[in-house]
Parts: sequence; C-alpha cells; structure tokens
Amino acid sequence: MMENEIILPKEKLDMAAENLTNAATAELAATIKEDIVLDDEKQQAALHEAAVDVNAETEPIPTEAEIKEPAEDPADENFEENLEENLEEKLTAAIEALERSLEETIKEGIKEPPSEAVRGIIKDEMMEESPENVIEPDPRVGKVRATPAARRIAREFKVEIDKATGSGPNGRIEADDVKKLVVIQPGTFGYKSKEPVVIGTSLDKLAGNPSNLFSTPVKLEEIPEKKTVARKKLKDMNQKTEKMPNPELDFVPFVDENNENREVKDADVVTKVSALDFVPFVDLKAEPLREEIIVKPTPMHLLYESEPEDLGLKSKKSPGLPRKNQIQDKNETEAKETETTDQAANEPAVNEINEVPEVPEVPAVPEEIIAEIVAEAPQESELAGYYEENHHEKNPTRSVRPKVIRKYLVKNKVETAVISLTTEIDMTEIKDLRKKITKKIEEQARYRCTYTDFLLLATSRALVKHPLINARREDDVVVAHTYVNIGLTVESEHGFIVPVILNAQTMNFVEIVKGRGDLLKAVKNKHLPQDQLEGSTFTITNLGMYGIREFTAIINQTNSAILSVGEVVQRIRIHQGEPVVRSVMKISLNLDQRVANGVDGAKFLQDIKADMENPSLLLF
Amino acid sequence: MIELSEELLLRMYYNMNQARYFEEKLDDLVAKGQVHGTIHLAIGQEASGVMAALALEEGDLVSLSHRGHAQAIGFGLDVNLMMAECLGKYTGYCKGKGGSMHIADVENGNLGANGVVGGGFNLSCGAALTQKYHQTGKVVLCFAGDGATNEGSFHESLNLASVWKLPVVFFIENNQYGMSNPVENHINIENISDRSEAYNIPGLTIDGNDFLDVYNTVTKALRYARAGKGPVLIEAKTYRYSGHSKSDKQVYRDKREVLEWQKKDPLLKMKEYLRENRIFTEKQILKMEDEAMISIEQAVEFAKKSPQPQLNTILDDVYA
Amino acid sequence: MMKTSDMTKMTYRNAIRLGITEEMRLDRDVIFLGEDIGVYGGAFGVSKGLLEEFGEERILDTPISEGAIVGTAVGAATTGLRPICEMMFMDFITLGMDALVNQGAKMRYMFGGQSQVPMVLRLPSGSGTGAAAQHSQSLEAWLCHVPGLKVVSPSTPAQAKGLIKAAIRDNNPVCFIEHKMLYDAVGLVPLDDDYTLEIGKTIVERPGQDVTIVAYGTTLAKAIEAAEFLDEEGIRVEILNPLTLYPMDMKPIIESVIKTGCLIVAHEAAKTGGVGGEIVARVVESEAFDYLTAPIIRLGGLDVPIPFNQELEAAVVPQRNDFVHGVYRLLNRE
Repeated sequence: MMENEIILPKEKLDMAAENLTNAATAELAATIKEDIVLDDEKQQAALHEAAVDVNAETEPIPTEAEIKEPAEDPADENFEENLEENLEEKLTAAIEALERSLEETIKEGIKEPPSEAVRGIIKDEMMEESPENVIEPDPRVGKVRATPAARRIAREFKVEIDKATGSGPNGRIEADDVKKLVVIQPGTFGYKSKEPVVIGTSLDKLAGNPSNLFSTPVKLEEIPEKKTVARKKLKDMNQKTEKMPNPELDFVPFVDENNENREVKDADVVTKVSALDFVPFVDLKAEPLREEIIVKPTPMHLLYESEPEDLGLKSKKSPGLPRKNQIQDKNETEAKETETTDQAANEPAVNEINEVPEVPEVPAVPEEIIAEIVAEAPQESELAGYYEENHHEKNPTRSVRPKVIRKYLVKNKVETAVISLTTEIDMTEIKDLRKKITKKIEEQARYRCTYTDFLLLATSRALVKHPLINARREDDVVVAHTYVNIGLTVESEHGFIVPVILNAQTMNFVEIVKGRGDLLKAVKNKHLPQDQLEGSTFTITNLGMYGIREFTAIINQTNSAILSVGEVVQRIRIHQGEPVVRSVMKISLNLDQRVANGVDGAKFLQDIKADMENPSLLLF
Repeated sequence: MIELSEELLLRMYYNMNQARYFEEKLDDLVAKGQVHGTIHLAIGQEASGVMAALALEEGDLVSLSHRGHAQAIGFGLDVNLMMAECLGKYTGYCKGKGGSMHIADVENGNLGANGVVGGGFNLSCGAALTQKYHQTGKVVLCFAGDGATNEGSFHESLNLASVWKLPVVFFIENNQYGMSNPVENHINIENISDRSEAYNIPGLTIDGNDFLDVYNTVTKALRYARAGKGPVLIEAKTYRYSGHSKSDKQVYRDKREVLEWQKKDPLLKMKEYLRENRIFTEKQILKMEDEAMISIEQAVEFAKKSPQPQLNTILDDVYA
Repeated sequence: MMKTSDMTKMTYRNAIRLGITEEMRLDRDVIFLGEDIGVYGGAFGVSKGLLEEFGEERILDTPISEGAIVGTAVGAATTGLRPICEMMFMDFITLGMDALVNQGAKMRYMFGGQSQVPMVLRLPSGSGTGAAAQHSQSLEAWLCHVPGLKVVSPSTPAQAKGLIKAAIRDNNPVCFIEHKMLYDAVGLVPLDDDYTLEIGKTIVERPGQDVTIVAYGTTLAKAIEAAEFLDEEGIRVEILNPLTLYPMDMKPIIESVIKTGCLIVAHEAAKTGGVGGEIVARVVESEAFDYLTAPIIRLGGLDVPIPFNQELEAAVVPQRNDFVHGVYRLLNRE
C-alpha cells in the first residue's frame, strides 16, 4: 500500500480508476512499458516517484501491480529504440494527461474534493486496509482530531478547535496548536493584556493555593543543554511556558502588535519597581510614622505637563492647586535645594527632565525642613482640596498632618509612573454567604447585594489601613485621606462617570448596599448630587459583566490608585489539597508609584483578599 | 454407651421439628414469592443434620453445607435471625448480605454454610489446625453432601487432616442425589465411607434417618478426634423429599421413590421411639410440635417486621 | 526518616525472610505453610533457616495440594491464626483459587462483617528464569478483580520487607506478589522491626514533569533505566510505583498525569485485561483526561504464553527500549 494514498468512498474511487484506465493510463502505460523494456531501474524509479507525486497532489493512482501489468505484455518490443531521449517528454505528457483526466473525474464524478480534514486523516496508520475494503464513508470526515488537553483549552478560551492546524502525528491538533489561536483583543477601556504580577497572601500559603504564591513557573529551566532535535523542540516548548508568570493562564495569549510595545513597557515597569521597591523609598526615620497619616512630597510638577499624552489621560485640567500654593511649593523646593544637591533636579523646566542626574538614593531630609513643611502643611491642605473641606466639617477631629517622608526624582515618568498588581480572589465563600444573606439584606437595604458590595466593604477597610493608597497627590505633596470616598465607574449617557460613595469607612455592609443602590439609582435618574459627582479618594472599576477576566485601568485624576475588577469565573483550584471547582475573580490595582510603592500596593491587595476570602468577618 | 437424658431427647425432638417447620415455612414463602433468590431445602434430612450438630460440645466448631438449615438449628442458631437472613433483612445473621446459603455465626464457632460444594473441607482443616495449634481440645465438624466427595478439595483435605492428625470429623449426608444426579451415577462404590481407607482414617456408614444412630456415631467420632487420633469420615444415608432448589421440578425421580423414603421419615421414627419407650406422653409430644411450629411462625413474624439493610451499608465489611 | 546506620544491604529474598522472621518472633499466631518450605528452605530459598528457629509446629511443610494450603490458611485465619502461605509458583494459584476467591475474599462481606481473614499468600511471579509457560506467569490481574483481596507487589528489598510485614499485620487476605527475577536484587533495608509500608499507597519513585510512567515489579527497574537514559536528553520522566495493585491508590497517578499530560503504564503480565488497562481507564475517567496531550501507552506482555527460549522470553515482556520509544512517541519525537 502506498503511503500517499487517498481514501475515498468506493464508488468515487471506482469512477476515478475507470477514467484513469480509459484515458490517461494508455499513454502512461505506454511510457511505463518502454521504461520497463529498457530495464533501466533508475528511470523506473524516477517515473514511479513522479507518478506518486502527481497522485499525492491529486487523486488515487493505480497500484503498483496495475502499473506493471501492461508491461508484462510481450508485444511491446517495438519501443525499445529512441526511448531515452523521449522519455522525459513522454513522462511529462503522461502526467499532464493524467492530471487532465483527473480534473475531469473530479468535475464529473467527484463533486466535492477531499477536504483538509480528509487530507489530514489520509496518513492515519489505522487505515491500512486497502481502499476497496472501505464501503462505509470514512467516519473521520468532518471530525477534528485533537488531544483532550487541546479540547479543554479550546473550550476554556472559546476558540473553535477546528480552526487550529494540527502539528501532531496524523495532523492531530495538540494543546500548543490551540494556544496559538487564543488572541485577546485589546479592549476599549484601557485594557492591557499584559502579564500581571501575581500576589498572594499568607492564607494562600496555608491553603496551598499555588496559583497565588509568589512564584514563577520556571521549573523547566534546569534542563541541561544538549544538541538533539528533541531538546530543541522541548526548549521551544519551554520558552512558551517560561513566559507565563501567571499559572492561571497556562500560556501567554497572543497579543496584538499595538499592544506588544506597551506590554514590554509594562514589564519593564514591573521589574523596575520591584527593583526600586526597597531602595529609594525606605527612609529609616520615616518608617515609624507609617501608622500615622503620611504625606509624601513628590515632584509632581515635573510630571504634570507630560502626563496627558504619556499616560493617555484627558488633557482636562484637574482641580489643581491655587497659584499661591504652587508658589509656596516652589519656595519649599528651593529651601530643600539649598540642603541637598539632589533637589536641584526638581528645579529645571519640565522639558529638561532628561538632564536631571539620576539619584538612586535620597538621603533623609534634614529635620528643619521637615519641621518647616509640617508647619505649613495643614494650611496647605486646607487650601488644597475644595471638596475636602466638607469632610473636615463633618469630622472636625480629623486633621491632615503632612510630613515629609521621602523625596525622589523621576527620571522618566512613563516608565515609573504606574505599577500594576494583580491577585486572584477565591469568591466561593462570598458566593455561599451571599446566597444566605441576600434576602435579609434586601429587606433592610431595599437593594439586592452584589459581589461589588463585598468588595466595596473590603476595600474601604483596607484603605483605612493603607492611607497611601487612599491619597491625593498635589504637585510635590501627597495627602493621605482619613476618610474613604470610593468612586465607582458607571456607564451613563455622557460616557463613564465616577460617582462617589462618601465616607465608606463608616459604613457597615447594609449601608454599603444601600449607598451603592442609591448612587446607581441617582445616576440612572440623573439626580446625582454634586458632592457625589466627584471627589473620590479611590476608584473601583468593574468590567466583569462584559466577561473581562482581568484588566487594568487608568488612574482617576487626583487618586493614587484604581482597582479593576474582573469577571467571577469557575476554575479548578487546589483547595485543602483537593482539586475542586472554585469561583474566582481577579482584581488588579494600578498604583501611582510616586505615591506608594509596590509593597504598599501588595499589602493593600493582600488585606482585601484576606477579607474577601473570609467574608463572614466583613459583616461585623 | 451414650446416655440420653430426657432433656436431650426433648431438645432433639423439638429441634428436628423446628428444622422441618422452618424449611416447610420457607418453601411456602418461596412459593408465595416472598423470598428473593433461591433456597436449598433439606426436608427429610433432619435426623442427620440436627443430630450430628447436637452431638457437638460447647466450643466445638462447625462448617455447614449449602443445605444447612437443619444443621444450623441443631448447632443452636436462633431461628429468628436465620429467618431474617433468609428474607434478606438487616437483623439477620449476616445483615442481609449472605442469605440462606451463607448463614454463619463465626463468633460461636459456626464457620458458615458454604455455597461452594466442597468448599468447607479445607476451611475445616484450617479451623482444626488452629485448635491443634492452640491446643484448645475442640473439634471441627464438617458437613458436606455426597456430591462434594467428588471434589478435589475432599481428597486434599482428608489427606492433609490425616497426615497432620487434625481434630476434624467429616460428616457426609448422602441424600442419594447430587442435585439431579443419582449417587450411583457419580460414585462407583457402595459406601462413600470406603474412601477413608485411602487416607488411613476411620470411615463409618450409618442410617441418616435414625436419630440415635447419628447421635451415637458422631459423639464417638468426636471423642476420637478430640483425643488427637486424627480425622473421621462418617457417611449418613438419608433422603431429601424436596427438590434441589426452588427451580427444581424433580423430573429425575419417581414419586414412588419419595413415598418409599417418607415411610422412613426421621421425625416419624423418633416419634415412634418416644412413644414406644414411653418417654413423653402423647400430649407432651404434641406440645413440643406445637411449640416448634409457633417458634417458626414467630421467626417469620420477626423477619417480616425487621428492617431492610440500608443502602449505605453496601460498601461495609469488604475489608477488615 | 530512617538513619542509614539502621539499614543494611540485603537481597530481596533475605528482606522477605527478615520480615517474616521478625513478625513470627513478634506474634506467635503467625504460622507459615507451604510446599518444601521446611528443611528444603523453599523453592527460592526464602524460608531457609526458619524451621530451625520456629520448629515444625509453625513452619508447616504441606503435601503438594495448593487447594488445601490456601483453604487451610483461610480456615486457620478465620479462627484466629495469621497464616502465611507460599505458592511455589504464582501459576499454581489456579489450584487454590476457590479457597482464595470464593472463601477467603468473600467471607467477611458474606457474613456481614462477622469474620476476618488475616492471611498472606506469597506468590513468586514473572518470567525470565526460563521456566516456560506454566511457571512464569504474572496473574495479578485475576486477583485484582476480586473485592476483598488486597494485592501488593514490592519492587525493592526495602519495599519487600515493609510490605510483607504490613501484609502479615493486615486483617485481610493479602496476595504478596514477588518477582522471581528480583530475588537477588540488592538494596538497603531498614533493620527496624517496626518498619512497615502502608498498604494502599502509590509512591513516586522518581519525580519528573514530562511523562508519567506507572510500573511495578521488574518493569519498574526497566522504567528507571529508561528514565536515566532519557534524562540525558533532557526529558524528565516521573515514575510511579503503585506498590498496592488492588485496591490501588490512584490519586498520585491522576495528579501526575495532570502535571505531565502523558502516561505510560507498564507491566509484565499480558496486556489484554491487565492491571494497566484498569489504571488507564481510571485516569481517563478522571479529571486527568482533560490534561492528556497524547494517547496513553500501555506496555504489557505480548498476548502469548511465556516461551522457553531465552530470546523469545525476553521479547515477550516490555524492555527498556520500549519505554524509551514510548516516551519518544508521546513527545512526538519519532
């Protein structure tokens, strides 16, 4: 049996064979006869090969026996002469004739040429019986040959598996083939398909949830280099796996060209931040103050101008500081400049950022300057946020006491401005809890509680613990708020707006549910009061309802961070040592790293995660 | 000579009647479709089954054949629990998992009825080995039918018991049929006990319908085995009136043959003995019969009221 | 963890004997039945010297009646002893099958939990000795089809000792399958007389992440050889040894398959109806199915009786190269 044989239903095959013998084979047979009479083995081989090639491209060929049969006819001795020269021409002619005849056959007899699927199957080692024996139509036609793993990935990422090109034996579609098809389209909401930094909590370590540990799957790296084919192939495979720090996706989805650049940048950001995390930010003197309200002076004015283009923000000017304050700031900066040469970097115009020498570590700010700024600060902050004053009235005991903690230079703001942290939250507990309490809550709050309510509560609690995430940056200073106004991105007629839940830190669960319900109702009815239209200290944005698993968003003006919430999905997770289906959700924190560093953000996420995974505690 | 007390005779007659009623009642229940599966009746074999088991001493062990209700009653099993087991109830000896063919009370030395013909021989040897090893002075009585003596295990175990001088008595109830096959068709010797000669152990053939003969012989055999002299083979010739199992239409034998044997019925024989020797009055005999019947009726009542085994017990007791 | 000082090098045969000796010393109810196990010391020398220590009362030379050996052991076990019995060759279990399958295995369940049958059946199995068709079989699949039995198959001297002791202490009939070709295998054996291996645990003999191989008996050694060879090519093979063939601990196997996506199951017994088929079926039934990246490969003995000729005999059972080629096939390298 020939390797390249194509298996067709019997009738089609018969027809093809008939045509073959009637028309084309005459000439071909003649050629072959000559060939054999010559007894030139090489030529025969060449002819045979050609014939096989032709057939590989098109349709069945006569079996070897058929080819040889006419040759046994003893009446062909006349062809003995002149054949060597003519052989090639004749062969070409024969092949052309054969092709023509086969085309006709296809047109007349076989209306549907064999599909790709059939071609893939042709080589199937299982099909070793001769075509004559195949009476039933091939059951494989129209079926996809794929490994279970490939099918699972296709199912999970909603890819049509039959679009994949099988690279395995007999055209079998392998897991890698399907992975190539998985493309994540960049969304319209600043969605970036990038590799998030995976952050876990100590609870994860206890529960043995490997997907949330600080680990990168690089286990295959250790394989020693050896120059074998398999090694290379294996290495290729490994590279794919190495790219994926997120075990949730067991591979890196293909990313569109445009996004590719950004991805690289983001990756850089992440690495740089992680490198920076502990060095320039840490100020031994400042450390004990962390529990208090903290103000970080940052060279905001350097960043401010270039921000809109680089960060893709709207150029609409934020409710910035009054001129007076800016002047004060400048004075402040000058004062510092006299003490530390580093501060010289702040002075040059915005355009000259690149000339600023990079200073990795900033020595502690002298005491006197701290004192100076401390003295100035309350006044400054009072002047600063016009909306903030309202809250001061409500809560007179609260006062903002800015302190200078650290200063640093931003050489390239685009590189270092925003860091993104992602964690996965096991929502199974919350799901169960919600089922239990939803009726009661509805009675009390008149609104149905959602996952967002839990998240709001957990977030507001975490924000109280991490004032830096709940901070506002104003030029050189960062003002951490002691109240929590959570903004929720909501779709409205005018595009996205960010209405605010005020003083979320004082609310219990029912109040949150009520607050959120009222807010959304107000947005819907266009009755949103002015004080709830803006003035958020932190923003939560949710695209889960659009089936977005995970994304990062642009930080709202004057906020220091934004939390992006993805879809709650069912995934298999190791829970208490057993692989079980759990509901999980991914949240990403985009953080202005001039305000807080990666560790702050990580701890913040950790607190949210801990609360969300033990939701019953949230209710008290 | 073996002494018979009134009390023992009373127990003999009562148990034999119990065995008869038990099987008749069971047959009745099977006919009414109230019993799942099959049962093997031994109506007509009461003397051999009950008497042999009654001859055992406290602590002796017994291995029953698949036709083992009479043997079990003779050994002293509770008819309530037996009936419950036959009806597949949780209160039965085997919690409804064994049924009529596997009634056992291992703790008290009943190694169980055995569904495999000839399956009990080797088990009895093993049990006897334990008695010998622990020097308990107890004997194992192994019940089997005539058909089982053609199994390899019969010969293997007789040989082993003979070589190791195990305290075991093999008691063969020759009821003339191996299922449907008459004994002359499958055994080419007059008495099965002759096979003992090949293993150099005592072999005795007795009238299995004569309660005294059975009791006396088994008692003597047990004494012999208990003395450490090795195994004994006893063949008790008897007859079963009932078919092999519930599906048996008894096409293989003549009704007259059954009637002939019914004249030698073991219960009638014992009743005559009791009358002749004026051991009990007619009234006492009737009372014994009534009591036996009532006990069986009560057993049926008990069994019917008993709970079915829970489905969640299905996986229990596969492993210890 | 056992200290090395508490271990000594010893053959598989001696490890079994050591295990039996220790248990017989510890428990007077343990007796040993079998053909030619006394003065002769057993067909493979496993019971050598036991008669001198424990006497004829506990080391019982039986007639050549396998049915009687197994049946007697079942009866003795039911009534309080803990017999170990030896089939001279595993093939002869056919003659003791009734006592084992119909009596020993079922007794507890059939009697509603009234009894227990704490016995061990030692079964020297496998080919390679040139003993031809009636003395070389691996019939474990039969035994793995009988609920109530436990089937263990140690592959190293330490496992042999740990498992024989665990088997003697187990209150169920345990079939202890020892491969004849392993008798002279040497390995470190813990000397602690409390050292046992839990019955019903699958162990990872060799961690890896590319292909999972499940093997026991002699095939395990061949699998390890193959793994070492493949190691040089950068292929990390994870080898699991089920130790207890029935009831088998599938969890580590399923977890391993989820990790690797590829599975080879190997045994010496004939492929058709073998234990491997059961393992594969359970893997496919499990969650691991969705992680398979290639068809599962079973390496088993050819479906023929074991031939006498040495070359033919070796060709019947899976060898090292079969594993290597199997792995290549799974990773699409052929």
